[in-house]
Amino acid sequence: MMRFLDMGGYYPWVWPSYAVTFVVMGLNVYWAKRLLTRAQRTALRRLQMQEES
Amino acid sequence: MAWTWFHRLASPPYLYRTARRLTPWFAWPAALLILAGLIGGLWLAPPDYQQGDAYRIMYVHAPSAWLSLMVYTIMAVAGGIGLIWRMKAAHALAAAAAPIGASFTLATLVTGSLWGKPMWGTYWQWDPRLTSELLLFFLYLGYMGLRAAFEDLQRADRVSAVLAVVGVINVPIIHYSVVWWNSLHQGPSVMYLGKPTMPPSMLVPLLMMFLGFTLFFAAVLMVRLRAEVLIRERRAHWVEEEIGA
Repeated sequence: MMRFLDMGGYYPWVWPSYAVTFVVMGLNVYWAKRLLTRAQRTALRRLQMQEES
Repeated sequence: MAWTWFHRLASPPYLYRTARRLTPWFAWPAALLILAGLIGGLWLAPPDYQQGDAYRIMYVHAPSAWLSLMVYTIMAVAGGIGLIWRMKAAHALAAAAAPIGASFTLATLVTGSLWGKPMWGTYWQWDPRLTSELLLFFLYLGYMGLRAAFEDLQRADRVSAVLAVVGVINVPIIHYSVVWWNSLHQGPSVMYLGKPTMPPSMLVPLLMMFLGFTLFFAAVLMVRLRAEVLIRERRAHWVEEEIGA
């Protein structure tokens, strides 16, 4: 296991590369969901305002 | 008949529903392929005879770089379609794709830097491949900045589409930079005419990661696309049917 984590001595570059990539992927999922939720909420509010007026 | 699907996709409600239906079909295969690619690339593939285990950065760097180029090309094509046929759906697609492309371009630059340090002895060189990739990142930022600068969405769509179309000239420059000029960056090893230069034990996980990243992009794009469609169509009656319940 330690040999795997050590990556032949290249661990300071290999693991941060994977970390950066998966942080980018996680943020993409989070941002996309947030954007959709906000767009849905805005559309819903507009619909409710239309009904009230 | 062959173009019917294309015309149907121009319809916002159809596009919204299609994007919603397609999301899990992209997301789950993406997750499985990336997981399999990780096991293959980090565990099963042997160390490289020259680079040792440092070459394993390739399994995240190369698919990120592929996305950075592919996404920009998609934006340029969508932007062109939006400009020529005045198709709102095409502009929505380009706008939805841009942040994903920008983030993977940044990932390409950072992982490339991290790979460069142990291999070249430096995090950065003003090398043709690196410089043109950095330029691509600025093109993405320019595209998003330009969109944010206009309050009128239609104007933002048109102006940013022009930048996407003009900027696409950088895509072949990035791809062929390692062939056209002397570059520290290694030459193409997979996506090149002829045989790949790596054994199947290294190549198969890489191809899995390429496909996994591409499907991941498609899944995220579908979610963002629905948001972009809603932003453009918030006064339409079909929106009430979709989210009014």
